[in-house]
Amino acid sequence: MSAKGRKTCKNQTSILIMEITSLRIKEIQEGFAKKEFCAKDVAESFLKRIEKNKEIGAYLSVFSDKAIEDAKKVDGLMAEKKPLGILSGIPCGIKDNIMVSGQKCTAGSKILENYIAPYNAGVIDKLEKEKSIILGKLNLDEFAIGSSGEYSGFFPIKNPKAKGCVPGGSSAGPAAAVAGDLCVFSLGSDTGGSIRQPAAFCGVVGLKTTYGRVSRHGLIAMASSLDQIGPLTKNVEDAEIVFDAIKGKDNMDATSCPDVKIKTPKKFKIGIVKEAMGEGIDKEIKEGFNKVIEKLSKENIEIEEISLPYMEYGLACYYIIMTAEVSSNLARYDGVKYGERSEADSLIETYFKTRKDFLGKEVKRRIMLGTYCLSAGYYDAYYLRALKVRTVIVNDFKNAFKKVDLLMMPTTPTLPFKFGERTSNPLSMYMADLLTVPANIAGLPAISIPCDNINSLPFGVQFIAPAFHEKNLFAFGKVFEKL
Amino acid sequence: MLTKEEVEKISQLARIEFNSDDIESMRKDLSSILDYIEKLKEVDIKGVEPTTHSLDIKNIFRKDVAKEFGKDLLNLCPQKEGRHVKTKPVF
Repeated sequence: MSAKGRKTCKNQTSILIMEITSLRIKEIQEGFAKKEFCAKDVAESFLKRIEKNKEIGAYLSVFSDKAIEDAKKVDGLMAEKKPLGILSGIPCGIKDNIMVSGQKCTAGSKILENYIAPYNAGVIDKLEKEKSIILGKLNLDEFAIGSSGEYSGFFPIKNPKAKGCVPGGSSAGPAAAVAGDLCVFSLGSDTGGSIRQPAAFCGVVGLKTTYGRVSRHGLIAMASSLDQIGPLTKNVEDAEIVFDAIKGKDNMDATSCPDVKIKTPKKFKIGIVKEAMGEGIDKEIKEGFNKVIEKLSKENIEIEEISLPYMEYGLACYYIIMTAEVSSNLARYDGVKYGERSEADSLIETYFKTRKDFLGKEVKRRIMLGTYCLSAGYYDAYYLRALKVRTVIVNDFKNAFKKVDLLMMPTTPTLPFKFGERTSNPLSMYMADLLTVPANIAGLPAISIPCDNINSLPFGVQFIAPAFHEKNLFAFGKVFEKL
Repeated sequence: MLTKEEVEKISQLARIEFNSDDIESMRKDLSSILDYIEKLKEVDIKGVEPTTHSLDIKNIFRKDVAKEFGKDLLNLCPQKEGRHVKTKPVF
């Protein structure tokens, strides 16, 4: 339905709220241009809907007054016909591990419960420049560690599209907020699938960007060689618009890169990853994915089976590299420089007690594993070996992209699972990232796009492109989502 | 399987206090994850260079210029005195 079609509901306030909150970016901009509603109307509609849907647990904090104030400023600019940004008046939610100056930034952890961000993340500066309206901060698994939204230090997040099921993680709030029409788009972070996996579980689009494409400045670090910020949206076009707004070099992130020009093929050749249909993948997912392949064949899209022989080692490799970096990055939470502190008799006891009292169980588990892998005598056997296997996996992808433009596979090995189903067995929880981790290891861009539900549950398909080829993900993704 | 002593040693290195129940559950969890990680031994890595991160970029330099930081940063620490972060004595 277009923005115009929804205008008929204008006299029925509650319907109008629902209608506005379900719009895409261009539909809202169309509504502004036609004066069907103003930025303040849009911001208010979302704030009301957030208030009514608190049980989803998507937001940790809501900036009601600031959002209305910012929206009014956009309305003022529109009235005076002054230049606007590409996201003017478009409301968004931000994962609470990305800093918004002067606002709480908890990273979903009790240890940062009262931490106030002293500066803006690079991506927030960019969103503010484009005049997007930030509605608030979104809930997550503590320090972006988790695959189900159950490890938030505050409260778990519910899946608006699958009753009784987890929303996925760690960008659980960002995925649930977009799925529940609690923002137009959100920003999440993806270290091993934390944008794509919850996007697939909640039936929305999720983009992990090329490593270095989007600034990590002001993102609370989990595993620095893998972390990337990216958008979660209702369709591929919105993902492209938000990506264009947040990408680019930032001097505050030494690994961020300038724009690269790439070629978009007229006809795409899609590689179906053979190994993503093997061991550890549920029957329902295989069946659903086969239907997607049939659809592509009917549309005369060229497909070829591709083998990534080392992909199966991705998860083991990831759990060494990631935990090693986590143990190092999270050493800063010592009760001295910021965050909470537990009082003890000596400095060393303060460290031990603070970290015992304020860090969650899964976070401790990963710090312990990473510490072990980096400890004297084990470094070569675990960490160095993992870095070498990483090279082998990177080469796997390089070889594949000599033959095809994009790789396709299911985003997740299973459909959304139930609350509590995997919390008692950490390894079973880790398996949820089996198909998303390889793109992080190789630093490649990847997008999860929702397909037809399976047994009434959301199901996502993932496309992976060569580094810096996001444009090709969008170009093919826009065709794919209409099939 | 990790021993109780090994887990206690890791907890010392990681600066996290655990009670004996936690040590036992951590021992089981870490051991099962390490068993899974053993899988990497199947890969032939002879002559393979390590990848520390995926970008092929070299050192990035900028001018070493001191910048003023806001007092906000200092206000974030749990305890301070004047312009200093305060802790228990180190020695």
